[in-house]
Amino acid sequence: MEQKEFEKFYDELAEAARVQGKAEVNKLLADAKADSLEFVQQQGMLIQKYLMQLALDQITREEFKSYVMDMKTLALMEMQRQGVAGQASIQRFLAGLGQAVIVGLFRFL
Amino acid sequence: MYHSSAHGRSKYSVHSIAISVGVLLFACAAACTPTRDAQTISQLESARDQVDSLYDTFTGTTVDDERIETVRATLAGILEYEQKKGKSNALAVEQVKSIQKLFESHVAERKAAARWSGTHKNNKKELIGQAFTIAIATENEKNK
Repeated sequence: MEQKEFEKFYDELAEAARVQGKAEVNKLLADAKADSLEFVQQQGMLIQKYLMQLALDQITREEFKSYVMDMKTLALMEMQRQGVAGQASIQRFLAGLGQAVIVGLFRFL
Repeated sequence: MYHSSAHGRSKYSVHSIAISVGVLLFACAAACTPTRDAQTISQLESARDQVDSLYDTFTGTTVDDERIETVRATLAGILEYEQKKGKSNALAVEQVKSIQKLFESHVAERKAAARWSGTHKNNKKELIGQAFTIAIATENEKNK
């Protein structure tokens, strides 16, 4: 009985983390779409495209992870180029990418 | 009278020095501000084409090390060219280094895999292509 209760608790915990992870990714995509910087909007669309490809098994989890790491490099390059003007937007995007995808989603991949 | 004349000369000297310093500062600022270089843009575009056609071969079962070396040499040549422009060109140098970093990580991934799928190849081409686009935009935004 105790074991069963533990398993139920564990399943609920995993489900809660999954729901939270999904909400964070949705927020990242919505924020990117609404951002004033074209670069951030484009990156949001790319993440969405790669998530779709992952869902359709067109790419592997490792490939998806490698795209996210590439996008981090691109965001840093663009931040250098933009200077002060675009720094806030790109930093927000990078923080979202780190929280929602690298910390959140990667746990389930 | 003598004092007045000396004072006049000293005022004149102060003005001359101020103007000279101003001219020097302006000349230095002009020399230190990076200017747009059409050759940099042409080199980056050519390197992007080389990377594109190399990645097309990554869907095959064998890796063409010679072509990888050719791209490496091209990118190293661009880096050297940008470094020679001096400290004011630090941003362009950093961006070429970022392109090299992406390229090397892609090559390492390809060597670790049996082959790339068409979708993965297109995604990687798109991502490294964006890195070239950012570097080209950086160059285009310099003084003309």
